Amino acid sequence: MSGGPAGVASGPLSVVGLGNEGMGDDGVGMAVARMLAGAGGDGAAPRVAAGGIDPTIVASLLAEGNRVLVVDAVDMGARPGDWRLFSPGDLASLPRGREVSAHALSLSSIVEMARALGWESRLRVLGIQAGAMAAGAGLSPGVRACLPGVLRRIRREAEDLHEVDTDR
Amino acid sequence: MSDLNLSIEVPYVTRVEGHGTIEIDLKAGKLLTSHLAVVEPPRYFEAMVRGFPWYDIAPITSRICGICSVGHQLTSLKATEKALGIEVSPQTVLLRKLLVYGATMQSHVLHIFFLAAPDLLGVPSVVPLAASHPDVVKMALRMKKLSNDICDRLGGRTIHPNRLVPGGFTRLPANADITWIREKLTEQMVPDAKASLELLKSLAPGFPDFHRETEYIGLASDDEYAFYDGAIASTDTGRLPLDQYLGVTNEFVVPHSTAKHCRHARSSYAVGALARFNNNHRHLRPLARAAAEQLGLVPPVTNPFLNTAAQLVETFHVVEESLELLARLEKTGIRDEAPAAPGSLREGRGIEATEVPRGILFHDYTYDNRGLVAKANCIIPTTQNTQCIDDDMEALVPWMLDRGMSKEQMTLTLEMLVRSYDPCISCSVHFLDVRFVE
Repeated sequence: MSGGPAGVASGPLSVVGLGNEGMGDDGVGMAVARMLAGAGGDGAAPRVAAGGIDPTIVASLLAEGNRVLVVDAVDMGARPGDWRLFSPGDLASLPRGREVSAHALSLSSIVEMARALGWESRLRVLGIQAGAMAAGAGLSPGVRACLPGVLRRIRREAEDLHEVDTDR
Repeated sequence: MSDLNLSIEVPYVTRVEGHGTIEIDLKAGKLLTSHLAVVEPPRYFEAMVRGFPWYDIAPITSRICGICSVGHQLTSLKATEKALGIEVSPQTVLLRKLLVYGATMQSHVLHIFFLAAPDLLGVPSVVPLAASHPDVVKMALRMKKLSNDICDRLGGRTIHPNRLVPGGFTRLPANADITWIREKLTEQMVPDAKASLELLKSLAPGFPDFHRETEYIGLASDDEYAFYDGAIASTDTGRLPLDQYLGVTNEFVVPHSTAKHCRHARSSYAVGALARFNNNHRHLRPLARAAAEQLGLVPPVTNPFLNTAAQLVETFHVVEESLELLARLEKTGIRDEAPAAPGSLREGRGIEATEVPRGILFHDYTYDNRGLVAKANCIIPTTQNTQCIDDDMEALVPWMLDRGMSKEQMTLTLEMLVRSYDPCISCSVHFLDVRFVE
């Protein structure tokens, strides 16, 4: 697993989990959102939204001036549970036909819209490689095992941004 | 059409919820096929709720849809309350109406800007619109976010609200929430709606000038533009009580679609914003009435493409209605009250309807004496529109040929027709009785 560069831009951080909780690893974004929301936190804690299968909330949060970190199941040809932080530019440069997000066009469209509106510096996607996406199944073992590391990374991201904001 | 051969197939119509295929087949001048084939699998909700207790039904049926979940949840609650004799307080009715209005704003804004407007602006989706018309996209996102926030503050969650139960609310909004919503609607939504009106007026020539005499069905009331309750109204036959809904909907199965179709006084009927407008226009609030005039909506409107324009008129109306209800609630303050409970469990049947963004929605539950569902029936707006869409297509094809439209123009116009109904296609497929023939 790896972490990509964390862009620094202004605005509070919102974490949006996407996915279908009824479809196995497709629901990992929602699982992360629920764990973060349940943990509560101090002033550095990000705002959390469970977006389900509607990524337009991402665009709405960007429109309000938030920094947005989307957490979603992806297929990037890695091992289930591997995760990576993407910038909109990383997503745009992927070969055509290789859909990164398990929510395919919809999230891609939102990312493209964000770039067109000049919001890309405030958007990141934390993609977690999905294993099985079967109806009725929970998270696969590999994906479940990555969650503590993912949560730590998100909290660190939020703390780093909080430090930058309070130093301004 | 003489001896023309023409075949149009749009395998998956884009910018609609769910999956449907447009199929047109013209052979030697004869229109053999013109329909929207729904290919979604049946969802079985009416079977799923059987045996479940009265307090569990609304969370299940709200999952019929993520876009109209508020409408499904409220209709479900009303049907349960009617069956079990639960009376809700006037405050509960006001708050539920505000939720209906918030959900209407949210859905209409999504449809007008993200689904319909790209056609009128000559772009394939809202994504290039972000580059060519950034202020329009930002405004649309702002309006949608505010509508989402209204549903959040009232219902606890934008999608599948978690504070609504039979008899009322498990948690009421705070007085500060009521004031926040009123201020935001006044300062933000009203100006944005006015800007949207100017935009839609400029784009209105892009709506095909196609008309077809149609029956329009929806809720109607003597007192208001009906969304939360009322009687069934038909532009052909007048009003009927809700418990006669089966004699109105008359569902039937067609070979080309997994969604049932409906008919009443004619071969089909339409529900949705245009149907509500045609049945309720005299109750429009001032800004909404002015918007209708500026958009050239003179009832009865028989151009299905103008359903999008009627949605913007309704956006004004529900904002104005919301402002009045919010002012009332600010005056009284939110009263702390627990949900009303049934006196005792009993056998009973409740038939209820609500206007959700896409049209009139019916939920019909029969409970046994243990408070468990024995039977359920849900009739969804898009199901009620499917035959009307097919009838429109049958008339639209020769209309387009008469105007010398190219195949590409015809394909786009057919897609625009389907989009104009703002269909929720996966909601339209429910429970089909299956009989295995051995």
